[in-house]
Amino acid sequence: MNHKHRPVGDGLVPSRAGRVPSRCRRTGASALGDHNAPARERGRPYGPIMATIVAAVLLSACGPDEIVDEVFEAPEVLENRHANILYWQAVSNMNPYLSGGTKEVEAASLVIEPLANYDDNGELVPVLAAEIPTPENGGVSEDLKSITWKLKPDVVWADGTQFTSRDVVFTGEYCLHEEMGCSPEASFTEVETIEALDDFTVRIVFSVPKPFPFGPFVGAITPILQHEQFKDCLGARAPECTAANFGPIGTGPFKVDEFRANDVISFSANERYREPGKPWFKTVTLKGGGDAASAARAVLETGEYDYAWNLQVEPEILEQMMAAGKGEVVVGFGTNVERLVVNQTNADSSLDPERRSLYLDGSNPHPFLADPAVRRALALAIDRDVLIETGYGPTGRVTCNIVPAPIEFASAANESCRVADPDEANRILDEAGWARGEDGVRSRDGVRLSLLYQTSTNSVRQGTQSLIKQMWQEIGVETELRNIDGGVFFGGEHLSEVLRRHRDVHEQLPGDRSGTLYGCLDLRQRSGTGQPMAWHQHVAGLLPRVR
Amino acid sequence: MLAQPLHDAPLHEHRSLWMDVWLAFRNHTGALVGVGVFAFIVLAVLVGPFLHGVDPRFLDIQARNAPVSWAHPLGTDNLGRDMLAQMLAGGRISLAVGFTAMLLSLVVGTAIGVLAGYFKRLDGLLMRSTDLFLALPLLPLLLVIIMLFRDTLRAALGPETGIFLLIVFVIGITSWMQTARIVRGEVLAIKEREFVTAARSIGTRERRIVARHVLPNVMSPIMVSATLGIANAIITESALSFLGLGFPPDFPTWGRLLFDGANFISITPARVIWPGLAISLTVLSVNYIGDGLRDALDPRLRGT
Repeated sequence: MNHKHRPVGDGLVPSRAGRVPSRCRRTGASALGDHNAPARERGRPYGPIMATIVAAVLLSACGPDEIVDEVFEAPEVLENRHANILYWQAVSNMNPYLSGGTKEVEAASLVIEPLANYDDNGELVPVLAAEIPTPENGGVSEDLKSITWKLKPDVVWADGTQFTSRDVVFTGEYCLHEEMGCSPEASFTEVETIEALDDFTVRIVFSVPKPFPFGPFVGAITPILQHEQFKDCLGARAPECTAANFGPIGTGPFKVDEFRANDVISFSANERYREPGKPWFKTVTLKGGGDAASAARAVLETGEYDYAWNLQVEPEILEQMMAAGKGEVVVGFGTNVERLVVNQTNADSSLDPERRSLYLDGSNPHPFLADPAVRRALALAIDRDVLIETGYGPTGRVTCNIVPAPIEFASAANESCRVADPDEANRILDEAGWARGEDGVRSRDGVRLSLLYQTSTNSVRQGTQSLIKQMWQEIGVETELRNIDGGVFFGGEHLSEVLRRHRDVHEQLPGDRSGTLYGCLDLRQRSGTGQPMAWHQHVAGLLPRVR
Repeated sequence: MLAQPLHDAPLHEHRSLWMDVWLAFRNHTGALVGVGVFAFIVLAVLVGPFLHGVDPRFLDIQARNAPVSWAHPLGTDNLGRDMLAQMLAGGRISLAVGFTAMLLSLVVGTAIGVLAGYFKRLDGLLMRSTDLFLALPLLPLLLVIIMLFRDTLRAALGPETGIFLLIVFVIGITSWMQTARIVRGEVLAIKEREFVTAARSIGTRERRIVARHVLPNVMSPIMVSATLGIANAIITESALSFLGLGFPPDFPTWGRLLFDGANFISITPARVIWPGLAISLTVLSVNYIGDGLRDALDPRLRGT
């Protein structure tokens, strides 16, 4: 789910290179390293309320064989072979096991690699593995309880040492360590043992049959770490290994020259990278900070940067920046779905912290969001076309599915959210006994339909907040809005703390929860002094695996 | 904060201190213009919403980025909110925040400055705590205060009043130090002057000396800090809102309007011009008023 929490991703590629057919734009990215798996969304459309808007994946890699010509014909590009990349959320470390934010995962993916990754169509592509294990080639056992990976024998780390199965086994130990609070822990659920059969064979045994055994070490969120470098960083000591976390030694196309946390990372090409002629760029600078609009301006208007990420910028502004002619907006409709995450747990702060997070056993339901009628009405009241028109324009589409791409996995069956129907929503609420009070807000048995709706600071998101507030007002729901700085809202520290604290709850969960914490339009409840705390488990529970 | 009207003024002359001040103030053209502009802004903000009865938070999707028209005298923003209504509603908040925070920091700063300057025993303690506040990193402090108290206040007073009090308090409590330092310096100089010694020699009580002799003489630096404080408070409020620590995001204030409009400067320039102009005019007029007041309040300048 490495891209899932990213709201709307549009890439920018400068057009100074002249003709840029869409294929080559993407190949440009692949020259940086074939790292960006199109998110492997293994979810199902989750229920009536969720998914709102759509979005797009950027930087998706083409096949590794495609050769880049046209894009890089421009002389200044040829001469420098330097790429300036701007992520407006700054990277805080280079270790995806500590921080599962998109920015960290994508920065790290230039350096460290998983065994296999996903291509544009959601198909598995071997990276450090020699081939994809299947039941046919004997890689996946018949009872589906173990998977055996054969590694490429000729891979060396950037420091010249040999990459072996020991590194893979170590990475497993690293993440599964009891005191770790591993960010992509969900990829490792039900893993029993990870063992090296020989120097280039690793077997992972699961405690239950796994129809989809490609959790551990697949995708950019679970890359392989070097045993030698991280061997003293197990468990609680993991965050203390600053040098390793800021500059991991990898097998990927680039190595870290300088890492300034939350600011700039300088990469240079890894001369030991296994694929000849790659990476095409000699150096890469990845700068963080600013906001979406200034990032767009830096590429489209001033040309300071070659690529910027995640342009959640109002369509009229984007259009006007494009008029400067220095760059172009690349929209790939992928798996980034802007969505509301509804808390069904009673998060009242008068309850003790542990209790606020327990809902799976049904003991502590939210006073009104646990009522399906309310959620259905909230979903019906939202006019998604208006949200797209005002906030996204050509960079957004309405979807009712949490998995809108790749096409193989996307369902066209769920179109229920496309038409907003406030009248029906009102009728549902009337029927469920939520009556309007004097102030126009509905209530039942003394519980008012009053929500706290928070999201990260971004003008498009604040616009969406205001619009949704007005839409909900029409059905008698009061909404208080709050915005939180993106670095905090999507922050890795917060995430790992939540995971650590609620680990016992998570381990009972089926499916993959990574990413669900980052609900882009996170809707938390407010009940009196409502102190939102854990708002993820129930959502995670709604995301069983597809395959 | 100033000396009380004089009970013990010489009876044969019916001129109070405030009369003197007014006479001097009247001669300051800039200050009079400032009063005019400022009064206009305050009046517009107070009365305006009754005349222009559009809900500032209503989103009219049909009228996005609308130009100037009778329905929308200043146009609309990209979500179809009426700019004039937002300006008026935002002005109420911004002015209230600016003034209350300024008054708070002024009262705290002046009190601490005078106490520290006049009473030697308190000097060390008070000035060290001033240094302490100056050394505190402002933004983390604000974060902590807001995180700790936001939900409590919100529960007690509602999201808007609660946040208003919190912001005013936070801005006030973090901007009094400069005033305190300046005032202390002035007080230290003034308390050694002959007229203070004279007052003391005839048995005037300390309280009276401070109020009657010291305070009027430090009025000018206080006024200068006050005028700067308003601008500072308006800007700080908008920065807090931007960080998500201030008012809810759909709650218009001048600072927020300016921030939100910045990206739209070439599409709908009005979104930047009007809030910017409002903030500038307010600050400028308050500055002039302060300038005039300073001249008028300073006994050395007033006499001439």
